[in-house]
Amino acid sequence: MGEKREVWQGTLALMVLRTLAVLGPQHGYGIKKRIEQISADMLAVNHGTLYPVLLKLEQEDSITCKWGVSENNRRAKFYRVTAAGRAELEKERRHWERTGEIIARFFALNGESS
Amino acid sequence: MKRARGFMHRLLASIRRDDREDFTAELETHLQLMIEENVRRGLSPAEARRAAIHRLGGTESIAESWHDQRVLPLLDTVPRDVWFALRRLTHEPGFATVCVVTLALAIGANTAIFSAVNATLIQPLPYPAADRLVQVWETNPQAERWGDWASYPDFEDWSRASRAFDGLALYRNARLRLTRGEYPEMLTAVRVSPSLFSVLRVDPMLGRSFLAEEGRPGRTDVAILSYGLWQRQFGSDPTIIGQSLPLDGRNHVVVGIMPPRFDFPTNLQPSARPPDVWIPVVPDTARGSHSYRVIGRLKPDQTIVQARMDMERVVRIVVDLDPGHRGRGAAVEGLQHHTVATVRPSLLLLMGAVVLVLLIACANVSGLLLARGATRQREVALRLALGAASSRVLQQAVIEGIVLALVGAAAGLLVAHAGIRGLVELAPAVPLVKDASLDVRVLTFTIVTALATGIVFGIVPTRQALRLEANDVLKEGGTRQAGGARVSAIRTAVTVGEVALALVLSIGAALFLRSFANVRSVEAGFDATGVVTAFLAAPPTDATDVPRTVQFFERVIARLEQVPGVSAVAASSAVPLISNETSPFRVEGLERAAGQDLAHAEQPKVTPGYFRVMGIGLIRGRTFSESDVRSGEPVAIVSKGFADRYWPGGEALGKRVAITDGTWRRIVGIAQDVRNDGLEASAKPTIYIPFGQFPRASISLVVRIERNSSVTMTALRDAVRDVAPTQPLFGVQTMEQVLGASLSLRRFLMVLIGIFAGIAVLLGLVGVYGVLAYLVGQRRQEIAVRLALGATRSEIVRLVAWRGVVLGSVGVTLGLAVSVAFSRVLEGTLFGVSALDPLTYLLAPALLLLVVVAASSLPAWRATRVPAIVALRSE
Repeated sequence: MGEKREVWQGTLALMVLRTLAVLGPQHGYGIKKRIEQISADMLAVNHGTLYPVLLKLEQEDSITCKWGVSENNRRAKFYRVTAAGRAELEKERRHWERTGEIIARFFALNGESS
Repeated sequence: MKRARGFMHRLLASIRRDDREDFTAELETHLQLMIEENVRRGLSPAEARRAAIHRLGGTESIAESWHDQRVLPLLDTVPRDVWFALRRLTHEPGFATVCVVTLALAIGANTAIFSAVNATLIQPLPYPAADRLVQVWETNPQAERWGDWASYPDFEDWSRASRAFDGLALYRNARLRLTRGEYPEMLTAVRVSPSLFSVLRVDPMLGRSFLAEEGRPGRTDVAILSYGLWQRQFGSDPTIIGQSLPLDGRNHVVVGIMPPRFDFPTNLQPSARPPDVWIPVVPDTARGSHSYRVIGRLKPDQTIVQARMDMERVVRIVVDLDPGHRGRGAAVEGLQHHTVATVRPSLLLLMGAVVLVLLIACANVSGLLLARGATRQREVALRLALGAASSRVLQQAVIEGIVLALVGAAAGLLVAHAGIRGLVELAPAVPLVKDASLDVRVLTFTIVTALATGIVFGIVPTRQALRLEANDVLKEGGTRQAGGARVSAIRTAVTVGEVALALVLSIGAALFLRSFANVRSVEAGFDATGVVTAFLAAPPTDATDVPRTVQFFERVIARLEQVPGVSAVAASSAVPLISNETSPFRVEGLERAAGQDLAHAEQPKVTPGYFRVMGIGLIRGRTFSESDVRSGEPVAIVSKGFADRYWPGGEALGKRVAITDGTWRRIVGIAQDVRNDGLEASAKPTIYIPFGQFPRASISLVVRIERNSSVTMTALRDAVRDVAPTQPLFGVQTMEQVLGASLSLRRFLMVLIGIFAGIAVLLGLVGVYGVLAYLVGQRRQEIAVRLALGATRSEIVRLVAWRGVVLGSVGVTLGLAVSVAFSRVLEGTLFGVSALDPLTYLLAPALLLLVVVAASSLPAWRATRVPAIVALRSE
């Protein structure tokens, strides 16, 4: 297996939302670790990409944040998905499912050449 | 929706306190968590820390871009940049003062001229839907008649038959004597058709406007007062409505008061006194008497072109009914357009000239900024190397330029404020200019001008710096300025442009100066020095009786001649540059074909002394005498132009002409031509009639004052009061004042273009000096080396001055080309000098080149003073 792949921004936002929706409030480092774990370390989340995405989601009211204390007693900023964020996530999920379906149909095509 | 929410968040974040610290704390947590994880993986704490920091990279730049995303960058950075720019300016007071003063002059002059253009050409007349107002007048190419006038019967025909107008109205100026209180007062009156107020769509503030039938014979005399007269004479008493007012000896019932700022039609007539009273016009049937102006309001669906077609139709109908109208036509023009037609080219020319001044000022300030920019290149390069986005650097420079320009514009408004008052003083001949002020449109113009110039200032020098490789600049170090040669090249190009524009303006100024001198030296045909004129009317009791009118004026003249210092007195119904009396005439033996209109000529009715007092020379024959009275033979004196025209090469004396009264008059004398309508207009054919044979109820007195003596106005007034206590002498002025006023537009042009050219040359001089001084500064070491190697001082002077000469020559050549290319713009506004006048085109460039050489001599001299030690310094 080659290099880890960088996540591109649009899908990263989706992953962040899904992670927060499933696992509940998380700090930035936690989100990064979860996403890397879930992708079975196929993805590398750079903090230079992550924090701008968090800020964008926050500005769109999809998530909110609050300072709290982490599991090992550190002050950390915890992000939580909002109702608007869940609605957005649902919309995105349907969009991805449909996109996946369409793409799948194309790969299912049996041409003469294949 | 999502986007709007995001925008609101960013807007709020921009206003709230800076929370970068908050983010740095978050990143710190992130770092600590990474270190902990690394430790868990078995790294030593120190190694764990180093690995984490290595992964994380520079937190500063992340924090910076995070912040930029969190706020609206413009809102966040602009105030900081403005603050920074202001601080920088206060740290360089000399530089700031030069820039601000230059810009203040240029922007102020532009604002002042634009306010005049705005008031006359752009701002609509102060009436509702003023763009629908037109002026209509009768044309007749066959009759030699001039001006934009109409007769009362014309007006009636047009009103009846035209379809293009919501209404037509006519008016003429008049004087009315108000006898109330101790002294009679002469009022500026306007005789108007009752429709005037509805055509203008202005209602009286109090009372009513005229009824359609008012003014017809048998109706009660009525009058509408101006707000000014109402305040002055009646203390703003509202019960004046319905009361009677003695005007010219007849009682007029006051029916209305106009609102304060209503001053039609004198607002259209430069240097006229605002009207005091409007009274209904008395209808007449004199087709030949074109003494009215007609205005109209186009119907909403009609254009001027349609109105012209409609008037052609109307004229055809009138001709069918009355063949005597054959050949006549009617002209229709927008009222404002027509009113300002004579001054429009001059104003646009001034606007063009003042924009050139602004360009030169911009070039100068850009040059200064470029020079300063060069010293700032290291700073820019350093910022770029440290990761500043080039767009940020550019933004800051542009904001600095704008701040500079806006400060200049603010100071410029003070210049403009004073300038506008000066303009109004200087330009009494420009209609509507009295209303020039710093209104919203003018302020917008100023701000847009400032912003545009500011952007240019900012971008040009900084793009220059950005184009350099950051590395090169940093490597060079020391005080040597990188890219100095290129900056120098750009500044040279800008300065060449300045010299070119300065030459364009100088040539223009020289041409206007010559035009003015030419107009001044024109032979007016009369001698204005020492002549005083004034209006006087015969008392109503005498005015209706011909012999008594003549006797009245004879008594006044005789009394005035007794005033010490007065050498001679005469009277005329029309005086050059003051009044006209233009009517049709016939020449015996030269009958026109039936249906053709009669030619027109000036027909002043003059007393015997008139030619002597006015200094109008008699070429042949005799002048009028006391015996040219009603009972005597009807006689006339014609102007030379008139005689040459109808009896070319022949003898006019003894031939006969007839004026409006139809009597054949024998020509007894031929007088010099007089430029009746101003020094720039040609002399009109004139027939002089003896006052004794054709008296008028109101006349102009002309009084010649003895050389080296002075006569007070009061002495003249008192003398008239002795003879005619009820009749005020009014409109007293010297002929020299009248002559001066007739030149005011030309003087206005000459003075302003001269000022602009002066500023342009001065700025060009500063520009040339600046670029050469910069050059010398750049090449100090080289010059020192040359001196050390034995170059003589004169060689060094040549080295620098030569640059000035080349620069000046290129600029002057360019300026000549531009002047020639645009010379046609000037053609209509010059007098007696070609727009390509060879003398001007030789002298102006030569003088400007001399100025350029003078400006280069100081830097050249300074170059020879470079101490030899400079050569040894390694930089």
